[in-house]
Amino acid sequence: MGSRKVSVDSAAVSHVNDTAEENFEHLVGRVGAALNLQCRAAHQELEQTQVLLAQATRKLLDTFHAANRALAGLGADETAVRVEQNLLAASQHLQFSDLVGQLLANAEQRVDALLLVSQRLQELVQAMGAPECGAHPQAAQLACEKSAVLEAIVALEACGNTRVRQWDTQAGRVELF
Amino acid sequence: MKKLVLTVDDSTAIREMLAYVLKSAGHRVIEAEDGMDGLQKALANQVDLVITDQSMPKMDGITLVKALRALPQYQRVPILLLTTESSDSMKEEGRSAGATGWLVKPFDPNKLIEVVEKVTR
Repeated sequence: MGSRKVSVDSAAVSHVNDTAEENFEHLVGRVGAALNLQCRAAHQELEQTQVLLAQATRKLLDTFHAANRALAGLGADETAVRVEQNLLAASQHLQFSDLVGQLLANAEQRVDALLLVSQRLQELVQAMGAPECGAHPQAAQLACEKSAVLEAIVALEACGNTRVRQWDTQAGRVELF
Repeated sequence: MKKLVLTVDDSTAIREMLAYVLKSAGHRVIEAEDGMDGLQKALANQVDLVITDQSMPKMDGITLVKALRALPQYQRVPILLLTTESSDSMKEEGRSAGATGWLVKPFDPNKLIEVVEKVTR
């Protein structure tokens, strides 16, 4: 694997310097907003991928069944046997949609957890910048927002490893107890 | 001898491919889309074999295996878990629950027929 070449121009350095000068509160707010925006986009892309996958899978399955029905009229000649063997092979590879669907659902869960962290971060920053209010002291409000951030982080950390270990559609192992 | 097989999976593709392969070998198939649906269909029809996924909404596969094994009419019926999961701990959980075997997705159609013949003999 080759290393990625990173070019640094003066505008970027200046941008980094500008960022360094930002106060912590503003920086965290900016991180939260950027994360939020990208997570929303990623969530939508994953959803779109799920829709496309479901549609394509349905079409593939319908085509598969149509080919199988057509096979019934072919009799038992050499061509029919070859078609049947190909259909059987396809029945293994068509299972990809289950594996991919699970991977997409896992990724969506992670993105959603990250989205929640970004939202909580933004709320915390808003609370940090809010003026003192007699009815609801800022310290209590801040503690509440920090707790919400922590809860969201715990939920993010709880996103477990994926159960899907397959990297291809090779048949899995069979074990009889 | 041809058997009545109950397949339980929340994935349409898996259910349809299982049905295709099993029917092509002459078996009859009943489909269920989650563990709860599977349990209800197993109660309504005495099947000769159950092939179930593990991770499903409403009721997972291992819970289904336990529920079926608690029924006198399903104590000796083979139950295969067909899942993407392959961890040893999960397999052990399946074995302890009373599963007959563990198949990792995707399944090889010829191997599946071989296993079905073997466990229902």
